[in-house]
Amino acid sequence: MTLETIIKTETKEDTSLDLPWRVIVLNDPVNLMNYVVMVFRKVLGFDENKATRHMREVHENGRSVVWSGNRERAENYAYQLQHWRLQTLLERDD
Amino acid sequence: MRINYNIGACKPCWNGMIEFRLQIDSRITRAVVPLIIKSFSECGKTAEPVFPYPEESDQELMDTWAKSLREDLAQDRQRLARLLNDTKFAHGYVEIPDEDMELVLRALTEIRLFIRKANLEAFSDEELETGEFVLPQKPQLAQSYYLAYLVLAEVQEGLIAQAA
Repeated sequence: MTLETIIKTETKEDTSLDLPWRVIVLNDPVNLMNYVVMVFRKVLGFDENKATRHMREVHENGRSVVWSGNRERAENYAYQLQHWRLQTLLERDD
Repeated sequence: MRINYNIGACKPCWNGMIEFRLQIDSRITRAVVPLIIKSFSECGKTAEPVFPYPEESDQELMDTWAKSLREDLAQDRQRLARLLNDTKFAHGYVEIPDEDMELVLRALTEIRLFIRKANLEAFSDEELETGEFVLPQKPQLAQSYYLAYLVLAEVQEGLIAQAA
């Protein structure tokens, strides 16, 4: 592997890490609405209104994009939301 | 001093404990505690974390993710075990240390998800969300598990009220 290839590869990897990712929470029939609002506030730092808006979006549309940004933070949020047992996915924000 | 969520009266609490009484007839609570303990035991064996990347197959990341979540969830379950083993719980009293609240909330969610999947097939999602169904028309065992599911939700409601 030439130096140029290595630099290109590393640049590509760095760029892919910087691509925006979306944290998506899916609806489930089990979790209480006030539980979901509380989790959004604790994990994502939302205020009551924003947390309630996203909870309603999950409930009515089946999913809500609750955060978008770099992959590392997106993964961190997804992990915490899954730990709270919310169904959470990560998708590229194309 | 903190004011505790309680039924009919607020109770001052000095010792860093969350205490409240469930708004459910204690005969129901006593009847469903064995089902809750059974579900608790089973969900610990079968819980499998879901990897959040639908299209990625990085096995190392998947393994690390699952292992880490399993450990965190096991810790949550340990704290809930203390509550379930407390004889007062069967009589409708919830008493947990402040610092256990979040762990217990998460573990309660896990058991409710498990009960929904394993024992409440007789209920549609819509029925569970709206509560619009005739309970005696459901199979006997599903009725009992539904009551267990409700008791756990009631504990969660009480804890969330505390958190607020």
